[in-house]
Amino acid sequence: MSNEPSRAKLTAYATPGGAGVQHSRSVNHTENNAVRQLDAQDKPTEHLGEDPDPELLDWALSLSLLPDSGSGATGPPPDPLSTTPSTTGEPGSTGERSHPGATALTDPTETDTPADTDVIGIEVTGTDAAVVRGRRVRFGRRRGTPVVAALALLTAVVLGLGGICIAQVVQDHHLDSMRISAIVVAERQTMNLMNVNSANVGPQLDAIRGGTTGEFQRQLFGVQDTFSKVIQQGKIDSTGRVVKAAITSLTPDAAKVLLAVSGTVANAESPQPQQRRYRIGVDLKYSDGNWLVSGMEFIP
Amino acid sequence: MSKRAYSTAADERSTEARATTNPGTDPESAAVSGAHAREAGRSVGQWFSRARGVGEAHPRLLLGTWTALLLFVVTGVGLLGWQHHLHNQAEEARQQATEAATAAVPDVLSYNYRTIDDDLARAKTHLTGDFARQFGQLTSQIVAPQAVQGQITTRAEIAATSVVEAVPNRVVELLFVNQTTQGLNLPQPRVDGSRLVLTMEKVNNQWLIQNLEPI
Repeated sequence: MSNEPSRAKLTAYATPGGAGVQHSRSVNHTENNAVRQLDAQDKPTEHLGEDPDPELLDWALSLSLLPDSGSGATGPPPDPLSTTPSTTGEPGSTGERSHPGATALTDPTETDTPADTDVIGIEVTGTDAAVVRGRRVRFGRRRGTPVVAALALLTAVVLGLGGICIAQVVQDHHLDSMRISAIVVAERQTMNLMNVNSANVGPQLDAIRGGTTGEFQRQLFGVQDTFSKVIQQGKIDSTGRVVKAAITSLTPDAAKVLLAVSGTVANAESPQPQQRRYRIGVDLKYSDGNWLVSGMEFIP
Repeated sequence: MSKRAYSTAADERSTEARATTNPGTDPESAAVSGAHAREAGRSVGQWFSRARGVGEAHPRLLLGTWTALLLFVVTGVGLLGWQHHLHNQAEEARQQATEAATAAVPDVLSYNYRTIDDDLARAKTHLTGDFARQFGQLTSQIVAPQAVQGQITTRAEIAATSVVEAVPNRVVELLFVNQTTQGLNLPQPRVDGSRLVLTMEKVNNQWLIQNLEPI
């Protein structure tokens, strides 16, 4: 039986602590464990008229591990114990009716020394039996409590999982929206740069300025004046539209977007607009909640 | 035990009755907000004890309601989990389909007129669906004869890849491809830059080209 070792341990621990409380009997008997255990088997007969079988007691104890045992019925009645004078120090025997399970289950374990068992139950709770017994007392008050406990546990688990799932889905959504916003910004900035002519080149470049960053910003606005001059002198009229946009890579703070852009170009030499097909790669950096263009290239 | 719970519920009810009468009779307006707060606290307590009372009186009702709510939440959590699972798979699909496309497109669009049959057979291993059939017709009826006649060799290289959209079993890619072509009529190798939209499909755990369209 699984409780056998724990019981032996209990009795071994019990005597030194409980010696004062315990009657002279235990002191008389003891010098070694064997004697103590003999003692333990002897006492029930003299102590309680009921004489519970040790096997039965073990069984009752093992039953206490089960969540739902009609302990009141199987265990010995609490009355004999509570009336015996030797159990003065035991809380379980102080007449609390709400703890019938406690008396019923503590008493069979060490029928001989009820006072000791309680010392053990509180101080030497390293043993499973004692802990489970303590819990059993509280849970056993209401019928259906195991069901409630199971439901509560399930609820906790489900809510925990739910929290994790929500966090994951929020993260997924964030990833998707980052992708979309990167593409949108890349398209807008590219269109600003592609749709230029002698009339709007100034305002277009101003519109782009805020949405760029780093080296690209410096380069672009280093050549801003030259760029404007070329557009105006060459009477360049460029148009473009995004045929397809897609994302190459995305990290929390950077993205690369490919754009298939088709458009027309006309200039002073050939005023008739000519069809053009561009392959454009746009690098973006994420800063302060916005995507900024950090590079733009025509892919050869 | 249950009797005691009943009595506490009854007590709470009576305190509730007192609480509702108190603020009205209390002349001090400053104390009203405090009274409200206390009342609120009390009413929450009452709600709990009432719920407890109901639970004690009708344990099956309480457990049933609880279980129903739990099932509802479980369903919601399951749906969220499924959504996350699909998203994860789509993320994987992006990567896998891009790798597959990078490997497949050069195979599909490159050939040497000397080994044209092998090349086209190899190309077809990367294709699926109607497109595989159409591509087979196009190459065998038009491309292969002209390739042999013009001694054409062409080589496709990927310049850049990107993903337009992805779901677990289907990914649309935008590829920039450079095609270098040589032949009898081309004294200098000609380089074309193309923009291809590829639809990749996962067939038997393998990513295949379901459509390929220049734009």
